[in-house]
Amino acid sequence: MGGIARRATVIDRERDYAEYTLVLDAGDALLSDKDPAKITRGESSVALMNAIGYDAVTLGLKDVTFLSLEELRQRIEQAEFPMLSANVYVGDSEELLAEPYVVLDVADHKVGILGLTDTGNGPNVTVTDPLEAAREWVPKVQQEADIVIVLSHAGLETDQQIAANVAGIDAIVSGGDVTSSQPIVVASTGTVLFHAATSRPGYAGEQIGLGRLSFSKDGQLTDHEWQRIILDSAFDDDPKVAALVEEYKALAE
Amino acid sequence: MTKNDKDARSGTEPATGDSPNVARRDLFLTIGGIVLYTVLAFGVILAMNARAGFAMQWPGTAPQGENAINISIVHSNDTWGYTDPCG
Repeated sequence: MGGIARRATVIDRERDYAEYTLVLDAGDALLSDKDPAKITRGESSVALMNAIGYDAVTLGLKDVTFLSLEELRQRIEQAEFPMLSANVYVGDSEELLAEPYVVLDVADHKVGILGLTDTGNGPNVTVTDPLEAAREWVPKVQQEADIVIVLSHAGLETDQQIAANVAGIDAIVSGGDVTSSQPIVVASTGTVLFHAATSRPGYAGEQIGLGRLSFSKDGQLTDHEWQRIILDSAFDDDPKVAALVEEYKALAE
Repeated sequence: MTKNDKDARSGTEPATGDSPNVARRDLFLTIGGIVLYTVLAFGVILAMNARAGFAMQWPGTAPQGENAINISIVHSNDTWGYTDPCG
């Protein structure tokens, strides 16, 4: 199961089907234990996500601890999509490593996407409390956007705390190592959480999440559906992405 | 010999077009054709959906009013830069 070329096929099908599609990654996308990502220090991952046309990606703790600051800045520069985090700071400074959020134009709406990273220790960065970061940044995003999505690798438990305690979030696209087979709606705020997949060594990128959300004219979430899609052999490889994979695998050899 | 050959040959047998049996047979053939077409079409649709791997429809409540909108969010997580199928 899995494979980024199959993932590209699913994404293209949804783009063909839906009126508007956002392609997001909830973190730890850049590298781990396998080539070509490992040997290219995440360059292959960004190139492939560029080819797919991701709209936004949040940085996970693996991303910001496995890579040096220089490598992280290279990946952010290489990416044709915003790589986000509102709670990763350079060293002990008050300088954010990446943009905290992006506002995308979708039809007549402004969709704000805020990135959050899971807490942990890294040699080159300081990762602060994602709940506090959400409290600080969501109101700022709201000033520019009528639809607010949090793209978080903070983990499902923390993301539920964020949903319950920070008003104004329409949806949280959650990452991390605990998943949910169904969307979670937090009653106090109405925020909906989606979490598609987890990984373990040797098995990553096997699934993808598909949420379809309806918003009223003033940007209120009125309805949603969601499902997890297993990337099995029912999906063909996208030839363009498959060719790029082969290029990078040849480089890695 | 195919079933159609047999049917065609049987159409040349002594029974005439005025026979109630022939009319009944034609009715059965017509109904059978419709049923067969329906079953085949349904099968093709099922096969296409299975091929797609997902057949979720849009939420039942269509967006209402000017500037209302449907947005699909396709999202990945913990992909670790893996490129190939696993397992």
